[in-house]
Amino acid sequence: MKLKKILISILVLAVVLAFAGCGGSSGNRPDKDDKVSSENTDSNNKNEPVTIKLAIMGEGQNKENTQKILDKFNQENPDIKAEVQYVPVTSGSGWNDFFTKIKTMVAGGNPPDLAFVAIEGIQMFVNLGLAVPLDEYFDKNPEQLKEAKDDIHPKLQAPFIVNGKTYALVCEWNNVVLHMNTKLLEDAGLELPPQDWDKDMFLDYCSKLTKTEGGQKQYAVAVPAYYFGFSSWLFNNNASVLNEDMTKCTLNQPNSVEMFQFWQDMVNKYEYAAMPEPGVDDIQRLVDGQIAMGSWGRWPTLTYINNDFKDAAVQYLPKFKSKNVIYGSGGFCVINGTKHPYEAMKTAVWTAGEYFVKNYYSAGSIPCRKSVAEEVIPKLGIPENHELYYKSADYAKPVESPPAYAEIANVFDRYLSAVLTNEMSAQEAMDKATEEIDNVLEQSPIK
Amino acid sequence: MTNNKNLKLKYTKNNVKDTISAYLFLSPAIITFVLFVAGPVVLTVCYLCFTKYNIITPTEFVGLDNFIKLFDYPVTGTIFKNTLKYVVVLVPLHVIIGLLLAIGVSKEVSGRLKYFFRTAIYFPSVVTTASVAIAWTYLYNKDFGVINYFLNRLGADSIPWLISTKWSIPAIAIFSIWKFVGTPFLYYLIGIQNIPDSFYEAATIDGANKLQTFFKITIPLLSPTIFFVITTTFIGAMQIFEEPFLLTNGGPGDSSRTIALFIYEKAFKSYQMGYASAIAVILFIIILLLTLIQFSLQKKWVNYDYE
Repeated sequence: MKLKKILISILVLAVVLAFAGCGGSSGNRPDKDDKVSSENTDSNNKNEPVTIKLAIMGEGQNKENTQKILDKFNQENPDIKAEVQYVPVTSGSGWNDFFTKIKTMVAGGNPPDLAFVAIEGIQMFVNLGLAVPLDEYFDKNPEQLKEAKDDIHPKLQAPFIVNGKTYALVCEWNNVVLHMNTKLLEDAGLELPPQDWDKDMFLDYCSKLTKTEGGQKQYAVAVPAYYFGFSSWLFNNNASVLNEDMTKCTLNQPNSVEMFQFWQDMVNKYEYAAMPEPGVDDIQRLVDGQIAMGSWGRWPTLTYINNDFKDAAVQYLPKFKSKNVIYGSGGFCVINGTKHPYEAMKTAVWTAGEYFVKNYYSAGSIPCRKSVAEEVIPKLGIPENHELYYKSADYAKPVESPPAYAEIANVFDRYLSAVLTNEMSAQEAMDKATEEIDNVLEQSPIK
Repeated sequence: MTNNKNLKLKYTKNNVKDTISAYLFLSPAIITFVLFVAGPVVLTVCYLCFTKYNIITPTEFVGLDNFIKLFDYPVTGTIFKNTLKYVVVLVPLHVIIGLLLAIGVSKEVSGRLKYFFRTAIYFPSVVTTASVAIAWTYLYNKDFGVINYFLNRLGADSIPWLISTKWSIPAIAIFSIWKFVGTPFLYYLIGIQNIPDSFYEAATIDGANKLQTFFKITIPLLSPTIFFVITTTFIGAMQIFEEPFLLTNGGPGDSSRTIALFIYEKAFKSYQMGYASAIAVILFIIILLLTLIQFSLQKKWVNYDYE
């Protein structure tokens, strides 16, 4: 009997522990009104440097290089030891998976001190109280804020200022331009199109760049089948996913439906565009000569370098009903729950400084600092016409990223693939997507 | 009387000692099970499914809202229908192909070839699903996949395996059969080996042919294994996640999205743990009910008495 009682007690204790893990307690959870002490830390030993962990999305192939860049900061600040922590994500899931992992680390009481947050996540991070504003640090170091403001385009910085508080200094950004394999253009007797090219000229290019040789099809263009990329095409047709204050979905408006119809036709009617296949990297296909054009930011330069590929050029997307450029920026946020907020802020501000930006973003993204971008991008030399990367900031529009971005992007992806596979008409799909996204905006636990 | 008492005491002491040892040996497994399986199940069924919970902020009680939301969601029907399609396709295929392979290997193949076939058929089951799924996305590719290459050589058109609403479920089913048929195959192989030879010898003396032997001896005596395979394959098919997640991510559109994938998306993409828990509870109830029905029906056809 006694034994049974002991066993039952152990089981009850175990169940209680399991409940405690997900219960309503806010033990490890961030408080939105947490005040951050700007004084130095709870470190017991003043001689020991405090470790600041920077979480970056990725597998960590560049870990050594990144750490080498951070070591410069560590030399300048012997009281801090900045360490990179790569967070791997499921292939294709991108920011969603990364943000979920950061949230889980925070909920588990083991947050990184800093996390790289893209524009897509900043509203959610602020809304859930995951990010700490840097204002207290800038109050003590106003010259650093001024210096950054002088060199970082205010438009790129704007998404990271929420309710008047600065949550990060942006260190990189990307726009979406059309990458082209110049060898394939040349073979088709085409030149790099002019900046003001339009839909008709684009279709003409597509017809000349689509061909089948030896049983292998060469497609003119890759479908921009991701939220950021497709949004850039919507912007060029005077359309968008959401209305201006991001409270209603506008995907079923005529201009938006027209753009979805355009890409449905590109895949199914004209057969100019390759239907996106799971596991297939369209950037690699452009390098391999299977696709002639694709809508991406500056990140394909990493693939170009790995493949020693130099036959690449970029041009703005063709004009439809309007001509726009989309952008998304990102920077390091201090994560609520860090034991060393002041040191974390110092590190975060340093990552937007010249040394980090110049060395970390020599390829892959556009450095946020104009002075660095104008030096680093021409130095890399590829792709041709790379000036577009730093000249478009003045008139670029941010990708729409409300707090419920993750779920909206999920709905968007589903209906985009339904349109591309001809499962639904563009109008029917966008009506359904609009209904679902409006529901998300209304019911999302993250407002 | 005194002797009896002493004996009882001695017996009880030994018994207690053994019981303590048994529980001590079992305790790591029991605690792990309770903490990571039973605890979360109880928590999900009794509490989380009635709340709004996004990992970070505290839970908020919302009553039956999560269940109502699921029934109001326009895509729910498609997702449940897709899961049912997987069950209808995968359960019979696993049961039949596994059985045929096991009979083929145990009865028709001899010598070293038997070892080769056993290993070859079971091998995909022990390989990580994620790694082979990547290889299969290339095999299935419409433009440069090996499968379409051979179809083209045979004069057939390329099939858009993973990028067509019509083909996504068949593509996943083919992969699933290749990957997991080794498990029922193994169960059947063991089941067949346990059937005493004397039954077959008696049947041969009575002049039974191969087909009669198969239907009158192998199938009835293998019925407990068949029942086990049907039940476990059914539960697995109802919870199918890895295959659509890795091959199509539920697409194109919602054509291959399953209940388990939907639970994952709601929990880990939309941070709606309460909603995801409610869907999990419904899936749990469906599986439980259908499994109970299977258990009640098995009395009519499963034969446990052949010793």
